[in-house]
Amino acid sequence: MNLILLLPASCLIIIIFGFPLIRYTWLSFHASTVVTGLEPIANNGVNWIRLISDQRFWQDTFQTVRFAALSVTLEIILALIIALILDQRWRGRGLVRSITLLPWALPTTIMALGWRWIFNSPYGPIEQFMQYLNLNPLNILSNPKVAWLATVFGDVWKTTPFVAIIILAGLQTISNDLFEAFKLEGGKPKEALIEITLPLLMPYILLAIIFRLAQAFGVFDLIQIMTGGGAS
Amino acid sequence: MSLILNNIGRKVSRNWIIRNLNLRVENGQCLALLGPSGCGKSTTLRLIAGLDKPSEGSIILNDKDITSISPVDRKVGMVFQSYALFPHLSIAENLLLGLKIRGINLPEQQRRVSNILSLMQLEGYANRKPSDLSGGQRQRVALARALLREPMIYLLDEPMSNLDAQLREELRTELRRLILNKDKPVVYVTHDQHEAMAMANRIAVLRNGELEQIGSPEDLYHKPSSLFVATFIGRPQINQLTNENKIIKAIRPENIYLDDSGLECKLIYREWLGNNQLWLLNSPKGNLRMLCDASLSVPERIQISWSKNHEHLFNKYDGKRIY
Repeated sequence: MNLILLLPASCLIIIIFGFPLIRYTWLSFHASTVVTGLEPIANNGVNWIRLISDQRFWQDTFQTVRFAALSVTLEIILALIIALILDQRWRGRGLVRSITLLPWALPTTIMALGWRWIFNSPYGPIEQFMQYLNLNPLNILSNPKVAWLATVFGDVWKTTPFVAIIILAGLQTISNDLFEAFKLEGGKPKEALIEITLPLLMPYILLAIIFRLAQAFGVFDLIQIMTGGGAS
Repeated sequence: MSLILNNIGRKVSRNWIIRNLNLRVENGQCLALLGPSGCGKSTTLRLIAGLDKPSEGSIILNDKDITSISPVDRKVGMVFQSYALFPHLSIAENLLLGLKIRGINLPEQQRRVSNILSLMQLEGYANRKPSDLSGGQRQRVALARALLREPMIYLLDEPMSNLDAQLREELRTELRRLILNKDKPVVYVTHDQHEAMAMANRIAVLRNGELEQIGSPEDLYHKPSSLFVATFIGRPQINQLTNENKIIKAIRPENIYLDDSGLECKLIYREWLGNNQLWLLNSPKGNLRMLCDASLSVPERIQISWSKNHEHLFNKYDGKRIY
């Protein structure tokens, strides 16, 4: 009976995800071009061999992993700090909470254009500042060694608020009684962070990591606009 | 050895949540703070625990002024209404945490926790998470944690309000056995007059942040100092007779009896309570509740009366007791 109830949802998943996945896997072992008259002809995994031996594939993969790992790590750490601050009670907290969300509300294209201007050489404010100090220009976006860090910077700036909101929501599920009970037991605020806050936040942090990794691995617009793909 | 609250007051922004509160609890005594929600009873408990700071007055524990001492150094064993167990830790870890923080050595930690688990009949649950336990079991873990604290004073904040009626009765026995016999002051916050009467040596009735009356359960029942206390203590609720003059006469349902020469009434409904029954009667003096023996059958003509001694008289304007 249970399985029957799962049937409609399972059918949808099979049609939307399962079928294309199998089809593409199957196609990846075939050639299907104008030359073959658009008929798929098995080619003994030549596609895969070409992929594995392609220098650019490995370089791009490396770039993507490096970008995702660094930006998501920075986002989680920063967001945790921001969420802990926004969870405290202080004057004007509501306003700051709203402002914090602004970068996330901006369309990626707009904010990427903004960062491209800020990092622009020689007219962006950063290069202007370098000139003012009589230092060599950094050429941030055209230097592959630094450009990827600039894109990480842009990504962190934009998506930290999103992670902070998830973590803040998690923080607010923790009953204040727990902290008071901990205090009465003799625990210090720093110990409370390690013994109570972080373990109870883990599900929320993991959720944020999953969301962010999925997005960071698929990032395109940000890189394209800031560097024209030049970061790799 | 005792807990004394001297003229305690707490103000938040411009409102006094508690004001002019003077209380004294001797070691081995249980004081119940009783009142409707918002009367300041939980605030009082938090002030004693040190979780909130009083705006005026002082708190003395065992001849020492603890008003500005941190919550830890007050050594209070507190039981929260929500139990406040750490959901990510097992029962044993919950109990060990405090001992670990206070730097008690490992074998001693283990010994104390296994002792308390057997005292609480929770041996099989050491490795379970709080979410695997029933409400009553969680409450026992919370009690165990308070006991492990070896406190100077026990503070119980509505410890049973999340439990069903049967469990409450069981836990009362447990509470008496474990905490009320410890020769330490116990402050017990509740909104349930029945629980307060059952557990406490003395009851302080709070209303709008001020002490309405303090006394033994018998005092409060027999000589309520105001109409507010009279209606709050005793169930079924006390009857108020409508009167023309400046006095409100009140009479408890259990003090009303059938009397051939008494007030004539009509029966509105009967409520069967098992060992007795409650009649709601319509009389010339308004509706009256009468509590009588379960075996009593309704006579054709209902006439009721009560002894003058059982009448409580209150001032109509301020509700204070006149006689």
